[in-house]
Amino acid sequence: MAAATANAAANPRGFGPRASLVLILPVMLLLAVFFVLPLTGLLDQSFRSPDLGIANYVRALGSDLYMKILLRTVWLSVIVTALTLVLGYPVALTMSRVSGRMQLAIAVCVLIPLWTSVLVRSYAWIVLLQRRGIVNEFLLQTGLIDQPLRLLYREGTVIVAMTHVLLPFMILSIYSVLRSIPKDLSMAASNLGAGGFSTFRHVIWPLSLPGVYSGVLMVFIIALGFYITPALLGGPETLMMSTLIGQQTTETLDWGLAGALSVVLLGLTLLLVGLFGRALRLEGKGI
Amino acid sequence: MMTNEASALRGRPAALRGGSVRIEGARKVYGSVRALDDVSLEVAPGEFLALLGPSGSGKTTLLMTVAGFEVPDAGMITVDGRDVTTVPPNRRDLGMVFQRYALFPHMSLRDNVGFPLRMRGVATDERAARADRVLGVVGLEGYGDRLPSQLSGGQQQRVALARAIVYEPPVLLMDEPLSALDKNLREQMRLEIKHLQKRLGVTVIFVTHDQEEALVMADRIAVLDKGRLVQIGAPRELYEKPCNPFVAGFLGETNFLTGTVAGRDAAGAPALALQNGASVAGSPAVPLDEGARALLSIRPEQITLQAGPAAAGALGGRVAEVIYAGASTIYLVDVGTGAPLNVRRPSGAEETLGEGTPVRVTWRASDARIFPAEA
Repeated sequence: MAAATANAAANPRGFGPRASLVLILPVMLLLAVFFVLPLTGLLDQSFRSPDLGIANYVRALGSDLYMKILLRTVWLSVIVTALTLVLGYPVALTMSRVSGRMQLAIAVCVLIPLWTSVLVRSYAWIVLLQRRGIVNEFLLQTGLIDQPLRLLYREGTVIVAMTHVLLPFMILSIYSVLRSIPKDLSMAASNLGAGGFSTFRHVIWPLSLPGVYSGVLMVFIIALGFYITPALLGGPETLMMSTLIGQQTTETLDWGLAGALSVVLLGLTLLLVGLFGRALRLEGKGI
Repeated sequence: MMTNEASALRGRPAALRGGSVRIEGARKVYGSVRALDDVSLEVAPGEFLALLGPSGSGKTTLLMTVAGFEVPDAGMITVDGRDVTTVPPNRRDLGMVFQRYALFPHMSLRDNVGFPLRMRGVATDERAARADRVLGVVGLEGYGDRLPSQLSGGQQQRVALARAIVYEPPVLLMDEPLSALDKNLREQMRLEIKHLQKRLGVTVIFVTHDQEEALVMADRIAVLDKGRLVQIGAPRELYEKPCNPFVAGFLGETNFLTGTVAGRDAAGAPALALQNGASVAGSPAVPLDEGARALLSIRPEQITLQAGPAAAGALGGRVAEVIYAGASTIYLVDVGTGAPLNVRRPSGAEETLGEGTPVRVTWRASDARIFPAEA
């Protein structure tokens, strides 16, 4: 221990084991009390409430309805992830190429939504899309429609709103990687005969993949467990897992089933993340 | 353009044809800074030209206009007689080695070196064969499958060089390619690059702020300062006959003495009267009137020291400090004109003069340059 401390003192960039422990202890305590403990409780409930056994899991996994909701949750998350990638990549690319005021303007447009509460943004969508909302009023006034359209509580609405909420995460994780690609690599590619598209395809895109992967992973995981937006903007036919779990804890007070569903969702998330990570490692070896 | 490309692709790596480059009246202004101020110069086929200057002198901007990354506000760039002033960089067919090599980190060395061939539509097999051959030319035979991150700085430098010559461009541009290497490797690479350039016959434009590098490597040196071309010529010409104090001070070490032009000395050379009353001889860079304020530049190794008091009117002083620097010894001689004179003598070849020894200080009039003092 003494040797390690002396070693740490000699290397100003590294902390010794004791200092590291002291520095991460607050976060570890916080996680233990407010995350690990409740999660253990939920896990515990899932096997004991109301009776000891795996009845809750049989209900969760045996029900067509719950399985359908689980599949829908995964499917919506995949679509939202794909949309944020397709919409976000060009923004991130532009942000990494411009400078000065233009860059500031884009950064503000990306960050202000991120700094605004998800609740506020979801309600904003309701204001826009409700029966007598801004969109319907406009369409009625211009005579394009006779009856207000039902825009809320549809799958498409949930997808659009979730894409909107999660877009900044995708943009920022791609941007952070794009920005770190040295400018002289593009210059070298250009000097060696590559046009704009070839430079992108052979140099920029492959080097930005770590940002794409981390953005995809982050958005997908958040989408899988997304609660507020689907709960506010979605209807019964767009029910997602977290909303379902919410219902069990607040309406039916079936904590055992809520626990089982939570464990299933957590397990699925970990499984998909693991598969994704394995696919990346294999590809990493292929390069 | 197409014919150039086609012939370059069929050629063998050992027989490169050097191209000529001509820059006429190039100007470039960034805000209020004149990065290039009416620069004109020509580079002959197969020539090695160094662009030398301090940071902000415009040397890199000039190279970037030749590479196509900057378009000059005015003026023209031609390569082999073809006007390329506004041609985008990917259509110029010029090789370039970047300061930090700019190797593609996700590609093997073979793919890095093969990249320009791929952009020119060369088939995969031939590409790999040619990339491997050129890797051999730069001494990295059998390294094709490695990634750039697995190489040392010097090896990465060689790969960058291989990638820049594999498609046999007529002109190779180098932007301070040795500045990221440590001293020993840098000195070794100087000669390697120079030998490779001679063997390939390629024209090289080489940007550097290191005067020694320019002297060792270049056929000709163009000295830039504040966006202007100050002087261009062979290394010896620039070192021995600098056209102004800036060139004299930037290229190699020198001593400056200020005084007034005071007729001629006994041998007929123009003489300079110093503040301390002594008179010294030199050859003026431009005709100077008697009584004009002037600046004399004399190289440390061209000064002769002899122990003993100086005659009246001749320059004398006292050895203030002796610094042993291996092959040579540096004597700082206080001659009563402010900063001490820096004198360099081969170690061991001559008698050593101890600190405090009174010395006579002389030099040949043809070795010292006299410039008009700037206002």
